[in-house]
Amino acid sequence: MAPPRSLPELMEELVEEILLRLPPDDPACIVRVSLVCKPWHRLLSGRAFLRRYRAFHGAPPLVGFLRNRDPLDSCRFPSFIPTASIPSLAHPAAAAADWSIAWAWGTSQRLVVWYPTTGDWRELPRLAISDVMSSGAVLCAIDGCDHMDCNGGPFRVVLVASSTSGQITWACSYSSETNAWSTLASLLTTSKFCYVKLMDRGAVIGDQIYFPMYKKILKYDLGKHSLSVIIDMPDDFSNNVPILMGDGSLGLAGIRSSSLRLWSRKVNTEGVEQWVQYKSINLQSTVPGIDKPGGGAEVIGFAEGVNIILLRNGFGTFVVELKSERISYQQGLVDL
Amino acid sequence: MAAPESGDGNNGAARMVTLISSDNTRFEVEAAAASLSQTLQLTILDGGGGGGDGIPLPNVDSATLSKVLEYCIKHAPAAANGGAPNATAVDRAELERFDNEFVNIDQSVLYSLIMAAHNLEIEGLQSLVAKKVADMIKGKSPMEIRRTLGFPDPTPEEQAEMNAHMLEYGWAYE
Repeated sequence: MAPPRSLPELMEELVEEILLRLPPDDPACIVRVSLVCKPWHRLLSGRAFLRRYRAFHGAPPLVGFLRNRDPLDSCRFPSFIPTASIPSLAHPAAAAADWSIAWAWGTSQRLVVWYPTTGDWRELPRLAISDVMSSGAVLCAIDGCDHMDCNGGPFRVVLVASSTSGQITWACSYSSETNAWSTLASLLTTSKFCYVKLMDRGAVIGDQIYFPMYKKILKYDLGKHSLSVIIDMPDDFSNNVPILMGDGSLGLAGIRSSSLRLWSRKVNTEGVEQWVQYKSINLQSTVPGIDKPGGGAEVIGFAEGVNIILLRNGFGTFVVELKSERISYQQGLVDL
Repeated sequence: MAAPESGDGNNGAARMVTLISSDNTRFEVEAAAASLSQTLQLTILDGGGGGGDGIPLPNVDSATLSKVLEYCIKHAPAAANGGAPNATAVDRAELERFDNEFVNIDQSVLYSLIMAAHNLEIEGLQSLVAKKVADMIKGKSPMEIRRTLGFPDPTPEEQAEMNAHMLEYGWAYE
């Protein structure tokens, strides 16, 4: 067997080994490489390769995030803010995802599930909950799924909503397989600040979805179809955001005096769950104006599995990489 | 059937095996180094390759085999430590430096190496070469990749198709 003199002479199995090692944080690279020749295009766009690529590189990198607009804005559809070289996303004609960024969008009128990567979308049956504080989450409905290849598969949507008085919170779930909503589960609360925060994303951990309330965390159990409120919080500050930790457990992120603080939910020696602070990142030198009046920042989101937190203040939006503690400014967000 | 001498716990000389390239060159090498190859490991555990026998490798020429063995000899101590949990940072840095220099070679040698690593099932070497070639690909346009990696010139149809795609995927070229 003559030794190969050029890459095209290599067997496909080895070409695959090479292409598997292309960097995942540069989507443009994969696109350019897929145009080299037809066999490479076939290989790179095949499901088997995509699964292997995901498994090889672990959690996918953050290539951008969806930013909700002001609810009073006439166009209430979220805007996509890229953080890597990636094309703009096709909005549904009326107005979006990989499961990793799947998002249910609620207005008083319509709910749409959007697949941003393909531009496909699906309108859900209308709900009889009118204008209230609401938030939602989209979940893969496949039992034991590793979420490598379930985009476009069956899904569930969970919607939570609070009355404007904050005394009652509802939840219901939708199944794409039956195309129907469940009955409403409801929770009466006497405490103040038990509002679901409008359009804030939830953290999905198995069958449990955690949504931020002003000073509490709302927990919805999909299996039991029941709501509860996590009342013990690290302190009395508002605007904490439940996050998914690297190990898949529940965490909490919030800003305290120019620092980003992170807590994890741990069981103590008496068997009681509590918040334990495990990280504090000083933002004073990296986030402009944070120590000035009106420059205070808030946590606005997180990216699953990649340890990234998004912050915003009057100066812009910032991406915080928790491992390296690197903070980068995202341009052009102030006016959004 | 001879019981394999593992080399460890044996204060004498390490066990040697002989490998024979496709052009009939004989290479004598420590069994521990040759055992980085999953395929050779089985033969060696069965007691093969010792004495005057030698293990013929009809798919690997002598130039490639000497390169492969250079890699195996360097990586054998770390591999013997089971992925080197005891390795110091210095050892790891030294291996990394070696690897970077090792693949700084002619492309045709890289392809022969990855073929040999594949045939002999030397996972670390296959991965190292694959990563090197992937690094040569990234940051380039489709035409640059074709030229760099020795693809034949595209036919007019292929060229037209690439141009059309480049228009469609303009964002990937900014």
